[in-house]
Amino acid sequence: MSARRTLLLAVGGLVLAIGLTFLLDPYRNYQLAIAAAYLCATAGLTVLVGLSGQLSLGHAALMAAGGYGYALTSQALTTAGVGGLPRFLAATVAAAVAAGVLGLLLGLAGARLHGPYLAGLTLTLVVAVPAAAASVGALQGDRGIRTQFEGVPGPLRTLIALEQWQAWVALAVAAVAVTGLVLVRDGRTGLRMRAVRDDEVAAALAGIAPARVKVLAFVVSSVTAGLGGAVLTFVTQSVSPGAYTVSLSLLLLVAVVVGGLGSLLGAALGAVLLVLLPWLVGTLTDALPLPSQVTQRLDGTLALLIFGLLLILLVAGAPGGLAGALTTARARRRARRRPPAPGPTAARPVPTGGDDPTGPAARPGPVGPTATRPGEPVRTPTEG
Amino acid sequence: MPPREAPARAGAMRLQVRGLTVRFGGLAALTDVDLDVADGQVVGLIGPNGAGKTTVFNAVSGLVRPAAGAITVAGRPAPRAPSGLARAGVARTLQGLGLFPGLSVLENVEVGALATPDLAARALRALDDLGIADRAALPVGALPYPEQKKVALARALVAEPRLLLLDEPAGGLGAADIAELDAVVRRVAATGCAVLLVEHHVDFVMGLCDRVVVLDFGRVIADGLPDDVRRDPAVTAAYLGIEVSAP
Repeated sequence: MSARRTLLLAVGGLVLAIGLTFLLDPYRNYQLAIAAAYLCATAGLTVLVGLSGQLSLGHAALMAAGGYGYALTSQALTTAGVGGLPRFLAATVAAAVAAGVLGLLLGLAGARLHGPYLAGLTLTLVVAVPAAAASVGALQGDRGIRTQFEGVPGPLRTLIALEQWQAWVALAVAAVAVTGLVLVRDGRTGLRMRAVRDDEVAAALAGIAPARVKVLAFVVSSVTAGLGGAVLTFVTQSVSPGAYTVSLSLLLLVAVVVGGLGSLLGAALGAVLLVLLPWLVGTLTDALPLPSQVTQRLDGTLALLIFGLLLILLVAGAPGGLAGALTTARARRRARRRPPAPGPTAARPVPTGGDDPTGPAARPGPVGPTATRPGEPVRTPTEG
Repeated sequence: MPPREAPARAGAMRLQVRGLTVRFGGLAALTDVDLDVADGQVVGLIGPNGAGKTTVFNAVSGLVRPAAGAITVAGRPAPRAPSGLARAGVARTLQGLGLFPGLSVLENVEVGALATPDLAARALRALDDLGIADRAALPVGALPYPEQKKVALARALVAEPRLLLLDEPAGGLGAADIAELDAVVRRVAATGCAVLLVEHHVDFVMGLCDRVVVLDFGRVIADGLPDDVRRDPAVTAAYLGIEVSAP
């Protein structure tokens, strides 16, 4: 996909998503904003894990770095008398920088560590960062930092509710993050990442510096996670250690795998699931005639259970995740609709039927579902 | 196979190895190895299993650090890290192919040309040169082994190297594929590229190479024209495991 087409698609998608917010009630718009925040993180994570082959269990910590970067900058600017859009933009950039620096440190360590050891390191980070944040006075401990309320700007105030405005901002930031990731994925950097993921020695012999590519992947992924933290802080108007726990980190990873590893569409599906699943389960348990004690106990944990179950089912049945399953279904439908013997031979009548050696089986046609090996993400050139 | 015509112009020295010694712990994998490959020349590196052929490649590629000796490419010291090779005009294939299973055939070749503009067009041309352009969109794992070897070769050739290191290019290939490979190597050498190849297939090496270097237990035991090397008693002894007294 050319860079120009990517940008056009991004703008079109954003306009469409903004149009969608008019159909939603304020609570749904709030949920959409949260999903957009998660999308920034899951999209970065799917690029890191799926493209560069590095596992991170610490993306919640990177989101937290973004959240704190946003909150502290926003606070300082408010004191300095800066407000509105400049404050929001500066705070968001600060969030990206804070997370990017933390990601750079992680990436530098990660270039020397492989597989489970890197995962272990990132896990330590996600345990350490909230604990450290809670004990630093300037970050206001467990209570966290409340940020300045960013209301709907003047001219729009009569038209849209606060939640819809927040959804717009969240969607815009997510669009920037995802567009950036698409450009990286489709460009030479993405090719370098995938080459290093598959075979570091062969990549190095082809002129790629594997360590540099792996660190870069970590930085890119961290920056988008930081943007997610900024959006979350913007929407909830606060950042606190309790919001960025180990379980959020794990859920982000589960969302990425359920959506389809390496697929940005999958990252979006995963982010929506992260928001919708707890809500759906909550609605369900409320509707069922259960004693309130049971309802209370199921609240929160049942969603986790279902998420885990979904993960197991998908890994067993559709290793490409939701996005992979969609692609496979689309390819099957197309294969069924295609005439049995395409190409020049289809033009002339063949009375003996489909006994043509140049038929679809004999020739390397478009890659069908059989071309995907189990355990490998299905990538489509059209998704974004 | 017909003897290869001598290169049109006597090329400058592309690869020069002097006194190369590599040790793995206490084991001397290579001892005092000298080796020259000129532009347009095809040199074969042969020897029994474990003689140190691939170690020579690894030392030239920066994958192992020599204990002693000098390696120069076009008069300059060889890059110390493998990622600097491509910039020095060196391309290498791997014995295990080293293909990227998650990438398409075309993308596998594109990786070899990342430093150049018009990536896809170049990669497609390299595939076309080897007659597998119609495989471009397939996942590389879907190809039969001889075609996978062609993809690895195309990735090495797409960068238009000045020095090509081929690690067992004929391994696992049938007679027809080997004849095709022979023609490709001749074509590449005719453009002035220096070629050094490690190979077990003796007929292929003797028919193709301008010079043959024989390694045994990490030492050069013969270096000369294919016919002279073939008649060398030390070489026969090394391959058959017979002790011969020095003449």
